[in-house]
Amino acid sequence: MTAADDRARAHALVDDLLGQPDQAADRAVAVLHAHAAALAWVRDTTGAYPAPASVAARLDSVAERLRSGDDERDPVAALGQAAIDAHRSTAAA
Amino acid sequence: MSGYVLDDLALIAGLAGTGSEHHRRELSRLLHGAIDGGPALEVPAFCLTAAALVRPVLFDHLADILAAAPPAAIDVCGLTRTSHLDALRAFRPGLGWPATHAAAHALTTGLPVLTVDADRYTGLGVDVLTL
Repeated sequence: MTAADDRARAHALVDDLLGQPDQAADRAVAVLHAHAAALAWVRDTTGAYPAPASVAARLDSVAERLRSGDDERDPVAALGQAAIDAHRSTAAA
Repeated sequence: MSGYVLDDLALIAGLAGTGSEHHRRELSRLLHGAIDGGPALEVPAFCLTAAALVRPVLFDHLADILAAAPPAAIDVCGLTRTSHLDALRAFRPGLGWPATHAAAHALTTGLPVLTVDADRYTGLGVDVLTL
């Protein structure tokens, strides 16, 4: 079997077990990836791991609105900006 | 390196049929993404064991997917004694082994824990995301 065959088999196994993802799942995972990237930015930029509580709370709040559909912005841009803003607020405090 | 540490609660919600339809489809998207080169999924062995106690056939399903996926896309990781593990045991002795394993692996790798109960990890010094 080729690597492509293996991948196709892995995808089929996931679909058999869980079903195919839908639009809501795509959005939720896009937000999840952007949230993780924002946390990684905080870690890489400030050296803080885990993210400070105030920063984590701000990111959680923005992510929740992005997931629910109350906020339709691009998750990467929205959570990236939220991380920067929260970091600045924390640094200024 | 990007990825997530899947804890037992996320595995149970997504794979054991106890969670919502959304949990299943979200985990499906994460698995498809990992297979296609997206963020890797790290499954602590103690978390998989706890989930398989709820649905034993999970061992077979996840092993089949892992064996067909590209190397390191999905990884079942063992428990090793580290300073992180010692600190977690000292700080939160009542925390169950699946959560302790997930937190220890997160501390070792710097990856966030993906769970359905973020409060479980409060004060443990790890980044936590909710499925």
